[in-house]
Amino acid sequence: MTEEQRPVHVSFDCSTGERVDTPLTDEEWEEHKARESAAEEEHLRRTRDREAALAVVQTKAAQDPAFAALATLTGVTL
Amino acid sequence: MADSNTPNIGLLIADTADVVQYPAHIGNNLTTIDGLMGAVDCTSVTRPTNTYKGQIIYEHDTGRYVQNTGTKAAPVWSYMSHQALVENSSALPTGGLTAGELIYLSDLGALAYYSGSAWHYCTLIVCSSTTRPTGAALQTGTFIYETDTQTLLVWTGSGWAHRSFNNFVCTSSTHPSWAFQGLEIYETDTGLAAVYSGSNYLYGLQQLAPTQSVSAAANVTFSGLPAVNRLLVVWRLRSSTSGTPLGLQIDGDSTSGHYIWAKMTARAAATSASGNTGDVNAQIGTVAGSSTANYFSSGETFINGWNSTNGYCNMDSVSSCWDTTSSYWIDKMGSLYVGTAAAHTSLKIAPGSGTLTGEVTVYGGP
Repeated sequence: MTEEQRPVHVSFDCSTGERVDTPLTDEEWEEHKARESAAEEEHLRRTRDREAALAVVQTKAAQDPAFAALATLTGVTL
Repeated sequence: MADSNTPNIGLLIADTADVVQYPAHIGNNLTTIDGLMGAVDCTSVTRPTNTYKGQIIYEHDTGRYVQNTGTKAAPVWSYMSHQALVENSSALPTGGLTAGELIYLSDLGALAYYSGSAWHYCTLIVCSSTTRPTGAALQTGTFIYETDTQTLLVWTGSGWAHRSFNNFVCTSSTHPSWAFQGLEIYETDTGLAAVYSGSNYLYGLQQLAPTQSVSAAANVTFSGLPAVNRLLVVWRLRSSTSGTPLGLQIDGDSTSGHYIWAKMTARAAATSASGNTGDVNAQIGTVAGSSTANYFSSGETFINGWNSTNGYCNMDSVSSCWDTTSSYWIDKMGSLYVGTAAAHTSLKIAPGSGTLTGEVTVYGGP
């Protein structure tokens, strides 16, 4: 991320109508980048796990009508 | 033949056949005439008793000229100097005018003065919406009150306009006792406006701050919020991280255990439920990433009991988030804030990770 992409804290004071945008400090920014990177990895992992689990359910449902009905009842779209 | 007297001031007239006596027929008469030159100076209680119709006197205690409009035998004293000339607005005087001259316009029931160059209405004119004044005395700034519309209007120079922009300013505990149907008020302590129905003040949800557009914001804080009973936070955002939860904190409180929340989520092909019995913020939605151009998430959160000072508030949220056409989160959430007992004044929303781009608006209501 470049310096131009450094995030800001946005604060609007309703009593004065004044808005202040404050760039994250270097320390905050490093923490922010680490958290963002971890979150993205976690999102990708969960997405893969979900898709894998869904594939297993769909395979089983294709072979077993009772299981397919149960999966549908519990909210899984086959 | 005997001498006779003139009818008004009783000058002695010698009989034509009589000898003219200088003191009685000339000297005394001249003295009488001399004493009546100009207006007779007197007071309002020493008006002349020997008077005649048309006599003018000046009362130096009232500062007014008075005329006998009755008869010699039965005088009626009528003040002259406080009466403006009676005219009509469609035929204003044009000749011999001096600045400051007053006239009474009988057709309008109003006074007008001459400024030296033009006539100006100088009193509020009471009329109806179909009898508004016209005429040359209609100058910029002339006020009228219409009895049928119960409206004050001012002449702008080119038309009639309503120029009362201000609501009645008070607080939520000092509503006017003289409220009338249609009265609009503004409460300085809540920032809310209301209209009086004739029996109650009716409020609406209204913006407490302009919509804030943000770009690459780590968080968005609204401070200085008034003590309204109910807040509504409406947002349309996207994040730099896909499907990140959106959290809300009250008064900067990030104490673990102060936020209890639970949610139901439709996540693509499945539904699920989850919760937290002691979080550092309340989850109010899920924010889309920026993987698909122009895809944003949106949501609303009602915070009920914002003006309570016992530390407790309830939050009800819904949000919808599409990262891609097949990857989405539809959330329904409930949250309880169990924080510090104090008046609440600020809220902050922040993503679990990444930044926020989009807009946020905060509304308030009773």
